[in-house]
Amino acid sequence: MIQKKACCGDPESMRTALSLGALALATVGSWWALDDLASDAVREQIQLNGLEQQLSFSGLELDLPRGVALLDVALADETGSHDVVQLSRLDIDLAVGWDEGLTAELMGIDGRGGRVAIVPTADTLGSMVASLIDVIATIVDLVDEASEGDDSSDLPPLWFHDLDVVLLADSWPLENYPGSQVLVAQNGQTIDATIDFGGGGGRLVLVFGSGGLERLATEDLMLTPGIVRLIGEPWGPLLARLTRPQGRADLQITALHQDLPDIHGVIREAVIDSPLIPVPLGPLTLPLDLTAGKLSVTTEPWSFNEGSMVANIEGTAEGLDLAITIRDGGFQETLLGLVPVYGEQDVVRCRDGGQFDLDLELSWDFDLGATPAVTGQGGFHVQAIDLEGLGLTLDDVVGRLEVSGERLVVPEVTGLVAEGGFTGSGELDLADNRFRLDLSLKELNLADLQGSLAPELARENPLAGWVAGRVLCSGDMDNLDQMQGRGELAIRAGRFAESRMLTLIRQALTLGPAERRNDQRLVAELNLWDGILTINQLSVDLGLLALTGQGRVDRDGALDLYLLLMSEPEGVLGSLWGFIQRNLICEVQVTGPFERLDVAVFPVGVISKPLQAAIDFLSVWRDEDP
Amino acid sequence: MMLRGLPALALLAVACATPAPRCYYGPVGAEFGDTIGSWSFENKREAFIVRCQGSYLNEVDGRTVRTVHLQLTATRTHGESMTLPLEGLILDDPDPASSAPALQVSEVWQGPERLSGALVVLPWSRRVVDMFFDAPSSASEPSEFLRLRFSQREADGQLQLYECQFFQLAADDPRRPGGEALHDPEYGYRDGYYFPGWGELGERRLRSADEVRLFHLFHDPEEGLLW
Repeated sequence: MIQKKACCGDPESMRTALSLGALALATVGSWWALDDLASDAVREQIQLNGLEQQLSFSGLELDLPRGVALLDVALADETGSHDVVQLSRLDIDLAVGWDEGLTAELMGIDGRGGRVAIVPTADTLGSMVASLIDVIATIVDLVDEASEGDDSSDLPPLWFHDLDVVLLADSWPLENYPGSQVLVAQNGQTIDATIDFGGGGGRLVLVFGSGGLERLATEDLMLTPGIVRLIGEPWGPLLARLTRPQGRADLQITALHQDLPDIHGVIREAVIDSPLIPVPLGPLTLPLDLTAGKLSVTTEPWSFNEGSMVANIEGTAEGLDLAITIRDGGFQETLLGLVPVYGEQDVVRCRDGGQFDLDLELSWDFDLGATPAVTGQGGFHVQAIDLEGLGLTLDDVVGRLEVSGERLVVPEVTGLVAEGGFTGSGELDLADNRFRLDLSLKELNLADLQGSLAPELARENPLAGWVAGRVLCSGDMDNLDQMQGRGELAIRAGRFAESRMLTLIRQALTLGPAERRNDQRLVAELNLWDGILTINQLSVDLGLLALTGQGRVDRDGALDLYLLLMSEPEGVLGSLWGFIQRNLICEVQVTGPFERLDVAVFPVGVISKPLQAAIDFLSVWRDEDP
Repeated sequence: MMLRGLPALALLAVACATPAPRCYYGPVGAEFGDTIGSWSFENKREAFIVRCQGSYLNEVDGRTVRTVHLQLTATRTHGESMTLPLEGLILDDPDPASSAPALQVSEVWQGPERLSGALVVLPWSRRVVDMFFDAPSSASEPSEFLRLRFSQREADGQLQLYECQFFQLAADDPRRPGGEALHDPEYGYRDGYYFPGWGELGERRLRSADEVRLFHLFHDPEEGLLW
């Protein structure tokens, strides 16, 4: 905390009447000689006050009896290594009394047309203003006679006009306020330094008492990243990053001698923003209270995307918690900025529309760095989610989510698609993008799916049926080719014998056209590993023709299926013995990419797989063997 | 089963000779085509889809009853649970002059689970239920219009009332499901209709399913015919 230097700590020592004895002597000399004499007197006074490293000027102009002007004034920081104030001209306005003692009253000090470059912290601001006061004191100390014992004397007002105030961060200009002005003036027992930032930046008042900088006040101060840094460590930099500072502040900042000052007031038109917050929050009014090291900011509920929102900030010197509660907010895709991986993929695209609840808490532990712990929960209704590349749209997707640490868990999600629905659950590790998904499909219309996935085929050769299944999979969102999974798929009440592959099989067997019936069925058990889809069991019932077998689909889409084909003139209702006697059994091998499938058919006598496969096939459709 | 043990051919002959009555209904005020139609409603807090599987005869506790079968999909798009008291599920004829008594729901099944008391839809979730409204088989023929009334109780106790109506599809209505046999009785549906073509479905009891299902089956009309 800044401590005002002794020379300006006692207002009593700042005389307002100035004896210009030295200057009076010079009235007999030339004006140039008088200038030099006065300049030497001022430099001597600067040396006497030990400020030669901090205060310098290039020359002095006398304009007696109205005043004196210092030219090209530079005020350096305490080390003297960097100029923080550069003034083109510093006018010292005098009222000279031609009485016996040839006294002059210091009416004011008026600087103009300079640059102030500071690191925006309370300490540096305080130091700067204290140095300014030292300048005044230096000038005042030229007086040693006229105002002796004059208790009513006040510090003469110090004005700086048309300043270009530059706020620095790491020695680089952060913000620039041209047309600013600074007034340092006695105010009873205190000295107030009022900084009016140009361009409507608002006002900052620093109040000095006998103990140095006592309090700060802001009036309609425009919050910027630079201004927020005035709050100091540890919250200043964090809030500067977290709140994307915006708004106007009316604050009283006191108890500056404490590790954390007390702050009371209101920030209006504030916006809270962070990469970890799905959307910027605001504009809102933030009543701010920091007492005895505890920060508390609680907003009134405000309208947000057709819903309402409340934000609460609690902080201590050790950390800061930001809690956000949103109710019935309108869903927008930008909300998914909370899940970084969403922006990195191009498969799922959520449309705006729907609503959501969210309880989100971000906790910063200053000892652990700038990354907060994130917890939360909520629910969502997204009216439409497009599966890019598949041509499918999921409608009215509703679900709940929980965020804990780096895990995003969706305990339940359901939606409508292709006249049916789906339910699912899953989780995503936000740190390494690994995921787990359990998805059930319920009675999807195969015709709808085909129309979306393969519209041309749907026009040429429409399929029908109802699809159900369940898939369990896991993997890395960054490397979906390595996804692992297993599942089962069924098509019921279907008509798909005219599909491309089954047509090729029929042609290879020189069988006639497929029957157009809606009772065809398919069941498959699937495994996915290392990009290869293994079909552990495939059973197709086309009515008078059935297939059972297994196979795989390689990463490049190449198919390799081994099937047993059975002709079932009497269906599957006969005894196993009757089945073997009556049914035609062939071996079918299907290989190649889907566009150029190669179908090979082998005679009955060379079946290489055990007949158990056929028995297993029957058990798929029947609860008990005949 | 009443058909068990009789020669299959004789049973088939009986079934064909005296087709049990089956009535189909479509939603009033909603367009639909070959597949079953549905009434739907949604606001910011909830959404409902109701479809009517019509009326058929079936056996409950050894008695043959005429049942109107409806299916409800209830979605809660809000942060508080939604409660639909079962006692509030009422089916009646919207015609004030009708003498048909209003029916309270007899059974409600959420998937494989029979509900009692109320259907509770948790926040941000969707539930699908089958609702059976039973009347004595001797009751008059189902009316031309059906009205389903249900209520939703908010957490603060307020009741929100809903109703939807269905009209009976005439015999020559092209949207009425065809009479062809249902070839996949284990699936039980064609174009969204539950055992279409069957007017008498036999005993009502939950059938186990090997696969995930949106709507479960509660009948096996072929059971008595096959064995």
